[in-house]
Amino acid sequence: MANATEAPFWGPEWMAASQRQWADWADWWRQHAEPDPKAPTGSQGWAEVLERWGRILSPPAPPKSSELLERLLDQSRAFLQFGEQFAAGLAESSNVFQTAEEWRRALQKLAESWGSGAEPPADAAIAAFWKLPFDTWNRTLSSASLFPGDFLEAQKPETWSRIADDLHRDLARFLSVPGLGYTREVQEQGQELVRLVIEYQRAAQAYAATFRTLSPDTLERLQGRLSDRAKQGDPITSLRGLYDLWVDSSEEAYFALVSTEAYAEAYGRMVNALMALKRHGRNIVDEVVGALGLPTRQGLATLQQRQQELRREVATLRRGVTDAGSLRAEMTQLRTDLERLRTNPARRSAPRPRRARKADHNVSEEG
Amino acid sequence: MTAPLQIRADRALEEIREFGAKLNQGLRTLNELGEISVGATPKEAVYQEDKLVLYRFRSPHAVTNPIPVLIVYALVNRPYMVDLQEDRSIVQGLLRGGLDVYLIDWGYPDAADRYLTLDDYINGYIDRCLELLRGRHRVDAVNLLGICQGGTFSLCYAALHPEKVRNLITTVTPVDFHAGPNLLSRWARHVDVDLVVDTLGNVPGEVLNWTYLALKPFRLTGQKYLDLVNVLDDPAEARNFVRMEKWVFDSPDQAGEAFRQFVKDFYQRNALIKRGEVRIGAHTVDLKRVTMPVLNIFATDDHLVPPAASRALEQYVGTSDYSAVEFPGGHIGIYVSGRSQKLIPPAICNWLADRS
Repeated sequence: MANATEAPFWGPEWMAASQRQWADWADWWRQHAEPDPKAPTGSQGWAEVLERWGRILSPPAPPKSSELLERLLDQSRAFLQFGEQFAAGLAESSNVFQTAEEWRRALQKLAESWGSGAEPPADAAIAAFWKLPFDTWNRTLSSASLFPGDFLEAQKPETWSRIADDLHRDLARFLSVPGLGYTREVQEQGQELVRLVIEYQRAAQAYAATFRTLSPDTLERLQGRLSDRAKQGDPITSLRGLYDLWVDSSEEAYFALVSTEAYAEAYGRMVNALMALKRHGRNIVDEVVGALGLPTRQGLATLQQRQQELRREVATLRRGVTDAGSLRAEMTQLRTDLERLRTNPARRSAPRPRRARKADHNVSEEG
Repeated sequence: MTAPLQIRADRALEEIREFGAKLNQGLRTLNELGEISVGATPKEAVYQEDKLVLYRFRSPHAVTNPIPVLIVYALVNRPYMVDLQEDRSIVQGLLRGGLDVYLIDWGYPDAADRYLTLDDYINGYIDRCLELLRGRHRVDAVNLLGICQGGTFSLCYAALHPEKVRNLITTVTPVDFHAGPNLLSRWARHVDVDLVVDTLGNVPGEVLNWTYLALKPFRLTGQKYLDLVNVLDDPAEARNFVRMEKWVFDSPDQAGEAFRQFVKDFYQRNALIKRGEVRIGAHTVDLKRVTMPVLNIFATDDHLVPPAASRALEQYVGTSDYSAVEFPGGHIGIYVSGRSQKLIPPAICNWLADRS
């Protein structure tokens, strides 16, 4: 069990700070919320308290933190931010959304805060998922490549796009200039590298753009679900209820989106462009390493392949030896039986049954 | 019409306060959980080869079925899912039913395993495990229980070596890879798998992790963790969650060549259901050669392997003794839910008992 003194994040200081924070919050709530729930809520105070609370929830790199804790805190923070947004909306609408227009406006605001365009939403907690595919595939760039995993992450697609568009003519000219002289191959490699980087950036941008319709579609589905609930006289009365409804709507909209051929094409293009870029980088590294007289990745792969082929052959030969051994034993047994039959013909009427393994072996050979 | 949103500010604030308090308590619970163990049943390694370990589970019960069962798990994720914890263990249910249970643990492939092919896995590793069991138990054929991708491997094996498989059980096994709303198959369609494998060698486990999370991102990367806050006051529940989380993210890398063939032949070409179009080593797979009794178990809410992808098996196998069990749950729930513990092992044990 973890010792509290070894984990400052969980230690008494953190707990005390947390308790102080809750006390502050309770004071604020008593002052602003309890006396008159219908009065406009002090959204600035609310946001401030949540912000401070959030800061306590997100201390810098807790030593004992795990990925699970990070995910838990991220989502909790997102939920609290969602609550803040909603509370602000409530404050503007005199506490309860009375008209359809009011709740539509509130939902629209929420949708905007959750991200509505081609770009992943700015908020880190909610954006965590949208960054996943890029992060994951980019990390695959890290090994045996010219580029660190976050190299492309730091390059904003829109920046690359602008550079590529603004300089398109010059770039095209540069990329089409044939390599000359002693460094011809190096020049060509550089040109190919630029081509591949641009292709990847464009593919990544196109992939991100496929999500452009997700937020409006989610909002529409959410409104539909809310309308259905209203018709059934079953309104949403809690933040969590609304959040769950949003998740259902999002999953539905997401599934509709990622089931399309357009998404599959954009996804394939993004992955293929990234792989082509990585392969080119790896080849350049291999050339440098080879020039230094060190083993290359390609050379190692060849060795691994040959080794596996040899292992396969050895396994086949070993099985052959085992099978031959059992065949030899069987033959010896048959000879013995035959000899016995020759010397004692009266036993011919009661032959020994064939061993099942012989039959199995034959079938196996054919199989 | 009733106003659809009736959330009062004071109630919203109270809800957030309660959430914060639960989170506060929950973080302490998580910090005090200590090490989380997986695998509930004692087992012994009876065979090892490269990264593979063949385990035999020790049973406190009498073995009433003389034919051993070999569980073939998928290459993705780890096989302790079938024996996650004391009260969530399919293995324990099978042992209670009088079976002698073996399990293949594929281990974690590294760069040296990059050229392992489906032939190496199916005609190599699986076959050698089966040979060992045939000799050890002095039987001509053993019972094969394949799980997910391991079920597909088991089908291929049974088609290639029908004489060595007494009964075949497939669970949440994809057969028709283009049936139903199969997102994985759809996403794989435009990926240049040759380029991926030639570039990466082995395919990192985290890529597969992302792919699975991306099937239901809002639930699996968000809502799930908010649900966790509600159960964190119970250390046993928290421990269950963390144990499952450990399994979810425990994804071995995939041997490059096996991955290449699996994605191309199965996900892209959907060749398993086309006679003679999947080649494993020197032979082609023909599901009509699967003539032994087959029990096909699948989950009605499976988001990874749509039920239609598994249900299709019936029309392609050559057996005249085909049974199916539809489990009302998901891809993981079929192994770890309370309901599955009551339904799945007895269904398997009874079905095998009728055919022993």
